[in-house]
This record gives sequence, structure tokens and C-alpha cells, in this order.
Amino acid sequence: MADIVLKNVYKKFGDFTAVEDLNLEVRDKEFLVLLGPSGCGKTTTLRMISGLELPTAGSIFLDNIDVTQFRASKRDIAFVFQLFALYPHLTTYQNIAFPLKTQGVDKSTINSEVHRIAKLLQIEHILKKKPKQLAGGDLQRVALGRGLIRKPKAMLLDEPIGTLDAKFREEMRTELKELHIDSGSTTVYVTHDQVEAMDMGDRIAVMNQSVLQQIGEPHDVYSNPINLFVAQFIGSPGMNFLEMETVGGNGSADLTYIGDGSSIVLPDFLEQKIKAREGLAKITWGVRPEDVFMTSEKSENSIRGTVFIVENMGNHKIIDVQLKDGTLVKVRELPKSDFKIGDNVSIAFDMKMVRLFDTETGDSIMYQE
Amino acid sequence: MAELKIKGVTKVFDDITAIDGLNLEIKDGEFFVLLGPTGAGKTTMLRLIAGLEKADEGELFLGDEFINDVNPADRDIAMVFQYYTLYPHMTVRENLAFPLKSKKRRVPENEIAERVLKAARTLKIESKLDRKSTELSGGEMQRVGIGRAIVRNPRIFLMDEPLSNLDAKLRESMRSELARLHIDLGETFVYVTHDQVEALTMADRIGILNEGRLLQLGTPDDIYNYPANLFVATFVGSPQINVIEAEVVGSELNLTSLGIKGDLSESQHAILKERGISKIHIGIRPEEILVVSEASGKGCCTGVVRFKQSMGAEDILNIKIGEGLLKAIVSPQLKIKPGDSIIISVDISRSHLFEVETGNAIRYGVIGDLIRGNRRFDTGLAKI
Repeated sequence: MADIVLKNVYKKFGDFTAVEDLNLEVRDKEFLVLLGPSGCGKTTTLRMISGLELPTAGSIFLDNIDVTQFRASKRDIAFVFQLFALYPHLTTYQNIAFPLKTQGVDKSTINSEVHRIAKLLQIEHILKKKPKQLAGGDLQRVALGRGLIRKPKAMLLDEPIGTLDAKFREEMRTELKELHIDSGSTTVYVTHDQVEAMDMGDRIAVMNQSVLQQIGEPHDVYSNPINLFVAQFIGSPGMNFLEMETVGGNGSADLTYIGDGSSIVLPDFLEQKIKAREGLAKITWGVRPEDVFMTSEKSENSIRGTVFIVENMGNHKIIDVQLKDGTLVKVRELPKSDFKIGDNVSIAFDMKMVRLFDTETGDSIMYQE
Repeated sequence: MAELKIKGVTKVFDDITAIDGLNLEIKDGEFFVLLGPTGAGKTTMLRLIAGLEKADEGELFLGDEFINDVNPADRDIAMVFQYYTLYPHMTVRENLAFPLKSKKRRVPENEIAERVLKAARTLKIESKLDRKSTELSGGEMQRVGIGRAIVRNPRIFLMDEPLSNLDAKLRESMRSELARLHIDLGETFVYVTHDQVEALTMADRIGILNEGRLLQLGTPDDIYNYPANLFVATFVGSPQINVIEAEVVGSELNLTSLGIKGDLSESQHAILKERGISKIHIGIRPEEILVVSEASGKGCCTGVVRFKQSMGAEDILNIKIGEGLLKAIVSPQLKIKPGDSIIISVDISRSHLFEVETGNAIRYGVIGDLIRGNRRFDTGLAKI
């Protein structure tokens, strides 16, 4: 068992509030990703869970025991931090073997475990080298190896693969997920990369400006974002936003795209969402790149634009369409799509997938708890 | 603007051959990406072009000029680095003007002001011109870094992983900005990266480098659809292509580890027979694996979903089949869950074939027949 509960946790550094009123439950055996941009409070949260930082207010429970005031060494769960804290006088082999050695594991088990981990991390060729002979990426792999070999009940990982090559990062995502399934360790993983979060997380907790925005399964956070920040941050590329206003002000539900005056006639279910919010005049229209359709001809309920750039992703294309007012809309297209830079196009939307936000507050008016 | 010719260039450091007899022509106005893993030699190649390293063998031409012996400062080349080296005490305007202020260049003040403004406009940092560089965000600093290259009107732009130091989200938007910048400037870009997404999305042509050698040269479509060997096939494409050992039995291919048998196409069969090949590796891109409702005919098998990676617009399934593990991209609308038993279908007659020993691609049929990557999307399953 290893579940972690944070209740009304605050962390202040002088005048700066790094984490504000955080309530979070990490379930036993879960892979939870703390996701957000630099400075959002995710690393501070991780450090509070580990005991390297103590909260200014609030409580932290590990397996129902209040450990709020316990320092790291007193917390009854093995934590793994991906700092480059390798012993400089020890070889890669000795560094990785170290945690097992202190546990009194026998030599042949240590040997086979070190080789298993080294093979996994592709560092077999540097087992005899010392840290100062290694490059940054290799140091990180060794540090990761030393963490993984302990098979801890709970793992805390802080951007462990951020500095690796793109290709190796992709492999490591699968490996870490595999390892998590095999070991069943409760894992809290910090990253700014939403691809890592979507890819590995059982659930994702999105943070911004010290506040937890939303927590949920990857697909839920993707399709049911609570606000503009989450909608934009999740997804590669993120959601497109178009500023709209209701025609003739309050009550009426059809929309006008402010950028060029194009009108959008809404289906009933969207109309009702807007009518339910009395006095809502400005609406941000959110739509994912795969829910935008492009055609050369003008069509109803569409907005005209010009192809600005085409990105080839191998198995699909991302096409940026520039609207009259300069706004760029990203559209996901098939690889065989032959739109070219400068083409005049119309974009239309899959109405079932459109998400509407209150422009003033940034909150979704379609969020379902 | 200029084209660049690299003829038989070799560079050796102690006992490591960083660049090994490289031949390459980069066209005038082209966005050329050198792609490869750490240690492939790509940065060394860039430094050779810039004149920061001297070639042990071979010749370098910029336009018609032989530049092996030309000083870096006289090559008229601008370089943008991974770490933006801006002067913290200077404003953006001063940072942009700095490369033009050297006595050697003698650019008149009014022209400096003009070039700085033009570069700032191109990069949309006009409003930041009077800020100190320490007040800028990461993306803005990298724009200023690129701006310092633009103001010099160089013959060629060299870029060494300029985006790798940025946040994932910012990297994404900077990619399309850079690609568009290249079109607006119309200049020659030589761009080095280990990130295949950057290469596919921005390049006119890609050169894949490994251990100092060029493994393949082509447009992003060529490289993705017709990889020259297993290294290229696995390095380009995310998630990675599935590689499976297979045995040739008559006109069939037997994927023993998965328990799949499938018919070879006539042209596949012909070339394998002609060359007497009985064992091969086949490559199947994750988007080429279909999830079907019932097993019909050859090429089908049953597997269990070990785990699912939800990427939003698509789900990546990791499917355990017999001894093997396959990755498949499917629509999230199929709502497949870990633990589900599913039937998949593989079209052997259109897969990539590779020699076991060399890893080289075995070409068959007319290349035009092999437009791949589109196949599953043509079935109208879902727009993903």
C-alpha cells in the first residue's frame, strides 16, 4: 500500500505562494503526472510529498498516517529523486548497485539486477566508467537506474527524461510505463511536457500559477477541459481558440466571429448551453485540430483563411490556417492532403466536439464533473 | 543566399572519425535538416561549415567559393545556438545591432537601425526592442538569437538545435514560426537536430546522419515512406515502426513470433526469390495496423492490449501477441481498454522489407505503388 493524500496544502517562500490550497489524492499503484509550465508549483509539490520541503499550512498523509512535519528520512516510503546525486568515486555499476548493497542483497542477485537495469537503460557500455567521464544524458540514465533498481513502493520522479534525445525519450516513456505496470509502485511524475503526461499518466493533475486546475484521466482532460489554460496546454498542438460574440447581445444564441464578422449558426445543444448562461455576450470557441475541416470552396458555417504553413508529421499533417485578423488555426489533415502555402480555404467545425468558454473568466461553460 | 557543397569531407578527433567522407549538396534557399542521434557527427559538420573546425580531408564550397581556408569571420555565415548568448546588460535593440558594430564591417548607423527594425518586425519582437534581454521569455530570447543572425544578411544560416532548450509547448509553436520564417526570408538554412519531429515538420530535405555517415537523403515524405534501412525506419516516425522477424515460406511470409501468416505480393515474392532470401525483418508502421471486428483470411491475429497511451487525437495501443509486442495507432472513438482482447490485421503485401544482416531496405515493385501512411485513413474509419 502506498497512497498519498494532500489536504489544503500551502507553500510560501517569503511573499511568494508556490502552492495554493492544494487538495490531491494519489491512489495506491497509480501513475499520477503533475503537469504544468515552469514555475507552476509542480516541483514544490513533489518536494513536499518527499519531505524535502515542509508545507506552510495543510496536511500530508501517507497510508493514512499524518507525516506533515516528518522530514524526508522519517517518511516511511522509499522515494526516488532524479537529481544527479551520483557518488563521484564510484563506477556506474557501483552507483546503480549501491541501494541493493546497503540492503544486504547477495552479490549474484545484485549482479543480475544491475545488468538487467543497465540493458534496459542502454548503459551497459559505461558500467565501468565514473560519473565525471559521462555526458549529461548518461548521468541521468545512471541516476534513473539507481532509482529503479530499488523497486520502491512509491516513486517520485522530477522530469527524469527531459534532457535525453527525443528518440530515446520516446523509448523511455514506454519503458517507464512498462516498469510501472510490472512493479506496481505508486508513482508521482513531474513534467512540463504534455506528451509525457498523456502518454504515461493514469491520471494527470494540471497545475498553473500555484493552483491545481484539473485532475483526471488523459482522455477526460483532453476532451473535457475545465478552462482555457487546460484546453491550450493539453494536446499537441493545443486547442484552437476563436473569439466570438452573440448576435445582437444577450439571449440570441447564434455567434459572430469577431475577427472578420463571419456568422456561425449553432445546433440546438450548443444554443442551450449559451442560453443557460444569462448575459453571456463574449464566448471563446474552442476546437481541436482534428475537429476542424478544410475545404477549398466556401461553405456554410465556415470562416475563410489562407494556408500559412504546412507541417508534415509522417502519419498526418498539421496545417496552420491564417484568418483575416491574423489568428492562426491549426488543422489536422491526412498525409495525402495537398493544400499548399497561400491557398485560400474555408474552415468548418465538428459541432459535437466544439467546446465553449466564457471569454471573461476563461472557464468552460460545458465542463462536466 | 548561397548553395553549399560538401565533397568527401572527413574529420577525425584522436581515434574517433566524427565525419567520414561526407558528400552533400545543399541547394540555394533550401531548409536542410541534418538529423541524427547524439554523437552522429551533426554538430561537427555544422562547425566544419562555419569554419570552427578544419576538415582533415575533402572540400567545402559556398556558392562557387572554396572555403576550406577561409577564416570563420570571413565566411559570411551566421550561426544560431541552442543556448542563446545574449548580453544581459544590453537591450534587445543593442543585442540585435551588436553583430553589425564591429569595426571590420563598418555598417553605417542608419543602416544598422534599419536592419534591426526589419529583423524585429520579421520576428514580431518590435514591441520588445527597448527591453533588457533578462526581461524576455525563453522564446523571445531565442527569437533575438535568430534576429542577430538575420541582421547580418549572411549567405547561409546554420542552426544547432535552437529549440531544444525551450519548453515543450513553446518548441511546438516555434517550429511553425521557424518554417514560416524560412519561407519569408528565402535564405539557405542548415539545421541540426536529434528530434525527428522537427526534421519532418520543417525541412525541405533531410539528411540522416549516423556515425559520421549519411544514411539517407530525401524529402520528409521520402524518408518516412521509403526508409533506406532499419536505422532510418526506426529513427523517423513516432511511435516507432514495429520491426518483426519473418520467414519466407514459398509465396507466404511467416511472422513466427506473432503467429501471423500472410501472402507476399508478386513483386515481393519475385525479388526475395531472385535474391534467395529466406529470413527478413519486416517493418509495419503503427498506423498501418488495423483493428478489425472479426478475423477474416490471412494477416489476422488476436492480441491483448497491455496498455494504452492516450495522446488525445489518437490512442497508441501496446498489444501483446504471442511473444511479441506491437504498437498500433487507433481512434480514441474505438474506446479500447487495457486488458481487452482484440483482432488485428496486417497487410504483408505492403510492408517494408529489410535484410537481416545489413538492415538495408529490400526495394520491390514500383515505388509509386507504395504510398503508405494513408492506407488506413482511406478506409473512412475516423478522421484521426
